[in-house]
Amino acid sequence: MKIFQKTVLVWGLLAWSSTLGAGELKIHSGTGNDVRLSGPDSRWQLVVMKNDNDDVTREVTYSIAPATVASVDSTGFVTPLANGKATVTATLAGEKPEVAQLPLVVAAFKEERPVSFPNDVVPVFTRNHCNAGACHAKASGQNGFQLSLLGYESAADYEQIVRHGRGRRVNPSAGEHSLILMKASGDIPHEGGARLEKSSADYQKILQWIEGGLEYRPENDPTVERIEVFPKSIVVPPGSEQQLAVTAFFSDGTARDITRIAQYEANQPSMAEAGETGVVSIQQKTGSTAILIRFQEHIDTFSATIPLGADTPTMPAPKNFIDEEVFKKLSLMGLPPSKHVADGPFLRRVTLDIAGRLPTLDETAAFLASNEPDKRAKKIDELLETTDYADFFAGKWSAILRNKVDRGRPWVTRDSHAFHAWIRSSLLENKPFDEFASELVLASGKAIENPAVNWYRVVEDGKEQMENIAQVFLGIRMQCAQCHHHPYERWSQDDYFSMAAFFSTIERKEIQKLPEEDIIYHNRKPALMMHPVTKEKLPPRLPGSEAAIELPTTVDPRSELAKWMRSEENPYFGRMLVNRYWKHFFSRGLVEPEDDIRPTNPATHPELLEGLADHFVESGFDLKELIRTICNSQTYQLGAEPNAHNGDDEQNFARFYPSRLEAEVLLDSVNDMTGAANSFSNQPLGVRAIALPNEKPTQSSEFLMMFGRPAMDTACECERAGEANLGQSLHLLNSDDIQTKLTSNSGRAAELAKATDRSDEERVSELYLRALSRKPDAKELGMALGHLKKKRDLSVADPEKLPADKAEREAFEDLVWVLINTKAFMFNR
Amino acid sequence: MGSLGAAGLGLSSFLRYQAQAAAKDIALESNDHSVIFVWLPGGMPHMETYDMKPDAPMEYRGEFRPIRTNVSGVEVCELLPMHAKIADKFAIVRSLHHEFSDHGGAHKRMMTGRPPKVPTGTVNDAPAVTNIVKKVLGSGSNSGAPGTGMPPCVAAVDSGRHAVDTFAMGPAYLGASNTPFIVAGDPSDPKFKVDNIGVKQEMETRLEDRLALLDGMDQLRREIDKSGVMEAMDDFNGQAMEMLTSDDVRDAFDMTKENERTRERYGYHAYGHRALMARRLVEAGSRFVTTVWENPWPGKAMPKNVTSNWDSHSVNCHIFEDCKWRLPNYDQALSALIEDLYDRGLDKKVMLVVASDFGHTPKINPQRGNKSKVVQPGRDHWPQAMSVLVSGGGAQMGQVIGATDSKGEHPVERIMTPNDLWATVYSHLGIDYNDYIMNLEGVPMQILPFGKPIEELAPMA
Repeated sequence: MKIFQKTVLVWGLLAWSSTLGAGELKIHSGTGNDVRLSGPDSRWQLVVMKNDNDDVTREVTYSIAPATVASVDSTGFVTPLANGKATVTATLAGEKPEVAQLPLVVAAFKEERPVSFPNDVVPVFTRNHCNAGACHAKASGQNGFQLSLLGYESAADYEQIVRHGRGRRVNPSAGEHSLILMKASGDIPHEGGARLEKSSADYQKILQWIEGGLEYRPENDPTVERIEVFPKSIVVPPGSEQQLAVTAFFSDGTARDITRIAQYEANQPSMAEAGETGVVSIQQKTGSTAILIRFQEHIDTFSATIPLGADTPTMPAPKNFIDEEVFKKLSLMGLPPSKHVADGPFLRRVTLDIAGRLPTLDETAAFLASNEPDKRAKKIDELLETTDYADFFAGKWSAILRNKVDRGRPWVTRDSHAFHAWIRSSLLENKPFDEFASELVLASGKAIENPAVNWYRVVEDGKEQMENIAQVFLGIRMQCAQCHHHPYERWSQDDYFSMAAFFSTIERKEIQKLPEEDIIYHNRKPALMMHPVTKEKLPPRLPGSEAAIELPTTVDPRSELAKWMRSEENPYFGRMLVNRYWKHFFSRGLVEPEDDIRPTNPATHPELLEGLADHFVESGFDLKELIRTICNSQTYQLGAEPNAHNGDDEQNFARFYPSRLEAEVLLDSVNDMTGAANSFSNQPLGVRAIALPNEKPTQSSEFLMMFGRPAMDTACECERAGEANLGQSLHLLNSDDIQTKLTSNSGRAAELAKATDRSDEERVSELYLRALSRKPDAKELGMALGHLKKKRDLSVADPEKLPADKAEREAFEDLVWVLINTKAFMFNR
Repeated sequence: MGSLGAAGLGLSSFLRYQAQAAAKDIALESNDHSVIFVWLPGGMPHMETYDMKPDAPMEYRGEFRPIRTNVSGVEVCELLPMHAKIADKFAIVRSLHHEFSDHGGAHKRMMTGRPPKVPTGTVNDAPAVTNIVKKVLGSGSNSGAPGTGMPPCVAAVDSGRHAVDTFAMGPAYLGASNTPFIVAGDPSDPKFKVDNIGVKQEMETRLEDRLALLDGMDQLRREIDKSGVMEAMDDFNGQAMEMLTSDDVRDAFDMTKENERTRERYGYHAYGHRALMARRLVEAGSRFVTTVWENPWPGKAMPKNVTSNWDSHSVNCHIFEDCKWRLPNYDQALSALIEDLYDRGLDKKVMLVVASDFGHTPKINPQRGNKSKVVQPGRDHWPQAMSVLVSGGGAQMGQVIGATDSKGEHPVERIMTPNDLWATVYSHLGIDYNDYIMNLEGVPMQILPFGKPIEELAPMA
């Protein structure tokens, strides 16, 4: 039994856009109409809902009149018994019993529908994971039996089963002795285990097909055009269940219930799981999640929003549309947001997020002392005008634009510096982002003259160029579709190679046999990419569009791609950028992973994503304006400390999610604290790590390597590793590098130790202000002063072993070391 | 969540693959088996070591004769007499081959079990076996056999951390967390010291002080962090301290703890003492120890007609003089290691594998040496045939598996690829090599795209 609170009903009404009245019990069929069963094998899953929100499918009692036509079990699953018309009735017991009805028709009961291999048999393989990537759908099959991944190539699967394996796989005269069934049922040892019970519908279906003549498709066998799940989305409390009904719509106008033969995949199993009968079990976490439903190459998505179930909290006043959307969902979820962040943490947070560095002592003092009511907004504007901002974000873009020199010659280094500088100036002058993207996509000529060409030096292959552009700028991860139909998306190999065709005319003209000096140009030939299986030569076609683009050979096809990317009709471009920047500031995208935006991976706040994208496009793709909008919102300025209710929140932005500083920012911050400076080859002495142009310095810096600075090998920001590892700890505890920084005669510890005219408290406070933009509290101060005393006492006790000035130095070295190792220092909060 | 790859759908797919692997009853035995991997960079010439062709024409067969061993039918080069006494304790595979004749490409092909995207250069585009082992066995922490504090994957090399890339041991998308622990330097050198193991006493006191202070002053409540990184960092700090201060860990790397006779038996050179150290490390709990045997005496002057690694082109060295200079050390070190493993009853638990980039050309190619200035014999790169040696792992020893043709050019029996060797190794470690690891684009990558364990080297019941 589910426990409902009044507030859930209220939210249910708010969220539900249906016009049906409240308090009503209704039986739903996946088609939206009556139940139409055709043939003795057909089945139908009913969904019974109360108030259009609460699933009572397994709580009602069912009856069918006349009972000779069909039967229905306690899970709402209908089995036909004879041709005819009937009415199914569902009764919900209670003080005032409620009743709902739905008409039902059974036809063609006497006609056995011949088994269709693609429509009936292949889905059995998919549901039972036979054709999953781990087993028979491996590139080399499993133990000599190969199936296509998830059944995308049913014709090939048919060949394998019927014609290969020396015909042992199927035995039409004694179906149960077919190798395929004996393995699947465990009669013969099968590494995959016993997957099908002999009495199961799945086993029987395959048996029927084998004994029925092994046809591929019977005559007039319709094809599936689409599948639909009902309900599409629901708001339910944690711990509840929802019955789904999945319907396949066929080319002959018929529809069939496929609830128990479709395959279910949960996006976040820790939030919701779906069983084989299409019942979704909602777990105990709050938030939004989705279940992917798959049948043949068709997919649909079911979304669940799972509120906390506490009283509706009061929200702070929204400052902009970001707050409106976020707070709307927090209300729906019953999640109270954390308190507004205080000035000190805000200053540290926003300086790190925009300028990639800690605030200086002066900046901290000025900000904390200021009484201006709009000081936060002014600080945001100020930071956006610094070169630190340009450096920091240039580093971010350089990484996913693969500014890699590897072991290249000196002129490669030169070109990579120019590429980085081009990115940096574009940010400094706030070049409209669509212009920037367009310059990159269209780059031609010599790298030394047009720095954007450098990207084509690193990303050499047309297919890789397309994949990278799609991932970086459109949020489309096309990679999977190179070898087979994309398992989570609509993209086929056709789509893949048609999109790669935009890059099919790019060639390189050699000068002086130095590949790094190649001129990139468009060759005036037809733009075509060959499909590796069909061998068809495919012209360029934009993702999502049906028609290929016809171009004269004089036109560089990339120009069409760039034009489309910048156009207001392109739904992907704006969304990708705003999601990427959202993740930068909030540690989690509205879609995760941030560059994998697809219908089967819904955003936690779909309207917010659209709104931000529209705002960005309308502003003229203004990056600084986007950052302003984000950082001035209340949502960005929520505190990180959880309250009693929102500690488990991971995706509703009820509080600021702390994240560890990136490797470069951390290194610069450690240098700022210790008074040290960087030294990298080919770079000015004291260069800040956030300003490093390419991947090479990482090779000579254990710090940068251990803390995950990316090697710039992929277009994914996930290459930047944010995890902890032993190497980091060893480095911080014991490396010469850190010791040198701490013990330097011109470093912070030495400076403070020498400043005997200043009080201990003042000096400790300075360290805290530098590190955390605040003064130490009583406990922290007490411990720090205690340590100073301890070292001084040791010196007094044995001045030969520990002279006074050495004791003083060591004490401050220890304090600096401790501060840079506290989580408050290493994390942004 | 981060350590398994992409979040969301990617993660659930990986979990599903895991579940499927479990359902398939493929034993992911959690065992305490380990591997010592001896890597001979440059290409061990197969016709001067394990695949002698005394009846081949003069231009092919080389100067050395084969000698019989204590196993009838098994012969090795006359420069390996200590091998000959213990042929019942190792197996030779003569029929491996691949297609990459550049050092870089060959390194990547051998080290990762995958044909590399680029046939030159040594920076990996896919993780090496050592990284995958670390990922699968290390599972977030860095403990070797549980509770030992030993790093699970170690690489012993001449120089420093960049050796990871030099020898194609880079982690690619598995990231810095999965690189092997580097032990740089020649362990036979009295000044040998390992970074991050066994700090001096005064530093230890200071570190303890600092950690105690940190404990008191690091007040940020961990529940503020949902990513788990804060807690993980605390854990790793603890483990780091253990490594830095544990006597057991320090002793494992301390060659002076070994008695003089043993050290002499192995030999006071880089080959011998790396072998000895490897034995100590697997005894102490490490799971996959790579030792690179390049120059037996790194940093010391070499005769003009030899070369520093195994790349015996005639422009580098006089191949036969080089062998006379190099192989006795190799013979001494390897035979000592094999004998020692057997004497200590480690032959089931430990699998020793010796491999190289490729073989060297069967036809001798005399050219003028760069250093010697005279025309001298040498052999060039030959990935079409190569020999590897395997010892222990509970397998049948005293056998030769596979064969090449009469001139040593191509495998003709039991034709195999390096992946078959790795499948054998992964099986020994209890790792399912058909399993998947997600790369950064959410594409599942099989640990080994092809290959199956060498049947003749299956563990005996």
